[in-house]
Amino acid sequence: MRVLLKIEELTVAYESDSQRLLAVNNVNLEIFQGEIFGLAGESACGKTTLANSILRLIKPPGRIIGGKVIFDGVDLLSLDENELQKIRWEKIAYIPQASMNALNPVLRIYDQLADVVRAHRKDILDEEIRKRAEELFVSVGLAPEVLKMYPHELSGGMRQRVIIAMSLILNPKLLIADEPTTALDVVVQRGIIQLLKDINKKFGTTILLITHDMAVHAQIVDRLAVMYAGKIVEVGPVKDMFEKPLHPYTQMLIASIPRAGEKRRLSGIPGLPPDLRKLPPGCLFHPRCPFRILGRCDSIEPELKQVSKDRKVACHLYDR
Amino acid sequence: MSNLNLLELKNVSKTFVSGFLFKKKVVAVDNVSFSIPGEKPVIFVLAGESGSGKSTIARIILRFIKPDKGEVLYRGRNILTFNSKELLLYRREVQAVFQDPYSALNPVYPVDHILSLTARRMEVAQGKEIEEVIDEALISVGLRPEEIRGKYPYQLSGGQRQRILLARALIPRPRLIVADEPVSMLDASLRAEILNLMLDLKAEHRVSFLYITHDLSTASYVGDYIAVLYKGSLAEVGPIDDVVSNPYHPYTQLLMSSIPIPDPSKRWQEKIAAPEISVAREPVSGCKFYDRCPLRKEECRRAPPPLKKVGNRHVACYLY
Amino acid sequence: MAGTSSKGKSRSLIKSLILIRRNSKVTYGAIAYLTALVLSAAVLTIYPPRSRIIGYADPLLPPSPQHPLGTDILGREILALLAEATINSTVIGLIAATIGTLAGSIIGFLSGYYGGKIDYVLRILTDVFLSVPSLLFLILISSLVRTVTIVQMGLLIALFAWSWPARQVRAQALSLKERDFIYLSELSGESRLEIILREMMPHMIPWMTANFVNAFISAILTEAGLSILGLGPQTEMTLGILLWWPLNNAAIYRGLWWWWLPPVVALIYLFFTLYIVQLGITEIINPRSKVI
Repeated sequence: MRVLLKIEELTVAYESDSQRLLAVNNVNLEIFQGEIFGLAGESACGKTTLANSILRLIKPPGRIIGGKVIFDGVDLLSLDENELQKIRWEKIAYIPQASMNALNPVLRIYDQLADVVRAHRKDILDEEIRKRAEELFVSVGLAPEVLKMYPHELSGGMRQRVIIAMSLILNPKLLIADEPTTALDVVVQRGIIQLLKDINKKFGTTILLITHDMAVHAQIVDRLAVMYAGKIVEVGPVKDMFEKPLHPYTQMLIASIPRAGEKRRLSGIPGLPPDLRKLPPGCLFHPRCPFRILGRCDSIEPELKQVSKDRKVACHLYDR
Repeated sequence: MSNLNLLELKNVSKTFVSGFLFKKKVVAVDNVSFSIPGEKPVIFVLAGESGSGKSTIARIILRFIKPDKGEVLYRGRNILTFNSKELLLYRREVQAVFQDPYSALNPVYPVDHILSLTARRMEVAQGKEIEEVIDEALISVGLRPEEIRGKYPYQLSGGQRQRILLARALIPRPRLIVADEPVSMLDASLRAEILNLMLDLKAEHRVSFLYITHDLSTASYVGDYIAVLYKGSLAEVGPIDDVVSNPYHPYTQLLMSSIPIPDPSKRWQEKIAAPEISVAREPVSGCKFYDRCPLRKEECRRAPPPLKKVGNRHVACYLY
Repeated sequence: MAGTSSKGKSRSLIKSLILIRRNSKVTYGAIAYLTALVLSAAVLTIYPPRSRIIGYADPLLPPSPQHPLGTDILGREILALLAEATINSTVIGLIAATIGTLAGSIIGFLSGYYGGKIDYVLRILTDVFLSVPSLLFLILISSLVRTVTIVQMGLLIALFAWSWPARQVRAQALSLKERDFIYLSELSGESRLEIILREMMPHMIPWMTANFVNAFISAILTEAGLSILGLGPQTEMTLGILLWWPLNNAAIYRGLWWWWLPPVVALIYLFFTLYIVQLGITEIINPRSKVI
């Protein structure tokens, strides 16, 4: 499998006055072409910052202070703004959180789509745009009449489909979707999840899906990475991750998810995520970990190491 | 405990009118009737998606708004006829927890403010006793008073705030707590703790809950009974395990099948049709679920189906 | 810790005061303004009242050690006049701002909190007063009235100063009453009045303060504008009147800079100090809007 996106030792910091916190802390990640890759983690774990930094959308007081983001062999962090503009939307499309509410309320859907296209392809004809838009809309399950409508006339689910269509219009290789179903009803959510799967199958688009909802990951992704306090703690095929989670955080996270019909007592994770300004020594999870090894987990930070063919864990329990 | 139903809604309807010249009517609640039994503490789930009317019902029960038609009976007495003294007694017995722990606490005061206020106004204790009552309440929700007293909301985490809100609700020793999406804004690992807390409170403090949510996984974890709402009308009411495992109403079936199961080996097999419902719709004369129902018949269009007893539950569907 | 709530309330008031004091802009701006007032008071005690009456000294004397800012066309000590004007303008500003903010806040609050017909009527009233060109109306009204005292001037300006606070406070009340913690207070047994005073007021006070400073600035400038046109209180000295004299006597043309420059400088100074205070209060309300 060919590696499409390789993130190497990426670190993003937020600095204010005298304090600095590492929102993304030395992250290493590989996403293969054609797969659906899931990034899981709870609030403030850094997954949205990670998504933003791939396309260099981090604004002060945030700053990328180290690492590489290698897309198709090119380090995106070394490109200048013009070259990066050619990548955004054309090669990598990004759907930020709540973007379905960010549609311009005074423009018709078609005009907004056309805007996007013309910003990247100046000479394209109107008929071409219209043809492509209509084809795309059918693929995402929208009637072509929607092109003439205004955002407020559409339901939440329809708007999300519009956003997805907009992101695909220039045929990107990679689609990054941050919490694409969070605000939607469960039936609509299922439709969107299905849609993402269809897009991946039909167009071969690689998808990086970011969400805290583990059930959504279970339904759609091929491989999954779990983030905690800015670091990746485990990566692997989704089936293995759920069947046999290795990292204690992953285990406890999965154990805390209710399943309709199951009455087994759920367990939460006691304690709180660390204050990113004052990180604990050693493993960032150790204060809450029931399996911590005294003398080791509280002083030495575990590295993300390969423990089997497709699995990586950052945990001392799996040190040889 | 008395044999009377704890809470009973009888034919409750509420329509909202907006605008001065161009009046727009939205039927939020349409002839809803259900009862929460009172012999032993139960967790009664009111489930529905956005626009189903569940929040409006909560506000009607809490006497923030008045229904246009119908009655709400608490232990047999119509809550709309209460004078101010009876209203105080009602508020002592029926308390609430809201969805957003961040906005439910006044940020200009330390959290003690709302706790001691409740104790005093609800005539639970006087003078020095108030402190003991507050400490007791905090302990019963798993918080340590020393860590909480004197703190401002911004100094506490979402989970802590939600627990404080539960503690506040417990101070007047209520019989029923109306919990409107109490865990939706919390991380997965925290949800389990709050849900377990609800189960423990039900068992130890003999408190019933009206748990309002759109998340059927958490609902089935804590619930005993469930009432499913669709666009202001009840679709199905019954014991939750039966309704979840064997739903009768086509809408309930659709809901249950749309819940993402957190198990990669149990992925959705069939595809569902894209729900392309346009936003502006004229009020329907028949069953509200008509256009989305795969099992619809001619008679479904003529009049809304009445809520009928079918087996161990009630269903509003002509199929029965 | 019995009675935590009242302690909590005083603690939070103290907290807001500390916040205000800690904010350098508010502190320095306020100190700068108060300095001007104190200096004015000092000047008035040093220079006797007759220094402000016709014939005290020779007219149109340029600045000198005996007359630090010179004298005007009637032979009055300009420094003393300036001191009196500063204080009087402040009084007008205070009257207009206080009444305007208080009345406006009450009207706005009733409008937002109760809604319905009350809101409908009050809103129309507010909008009318907002959209009407206040300066023109003030000119009209003051030209119909023969003489105006300082207090009357303040009241007159207050007539148009209440509408903006009303609109602001109405918006605040509207958004506040739907907040979860307000509903929670009602569930906890707090009465309507208690909710308004105890839960909502701390949120509105920063805005009301900002409105007050706003109204204050606006009042001083409005008074200056009216007085320059000759519509001000003729019997007492204000900064505007202090400008009317030189303007009406071609002071600029005649090169009598000590006659027109001091009030201009004073106005700019007072305006500036209040502007700094306003920036500071805006920062407190919205910490993300730091400009300087």
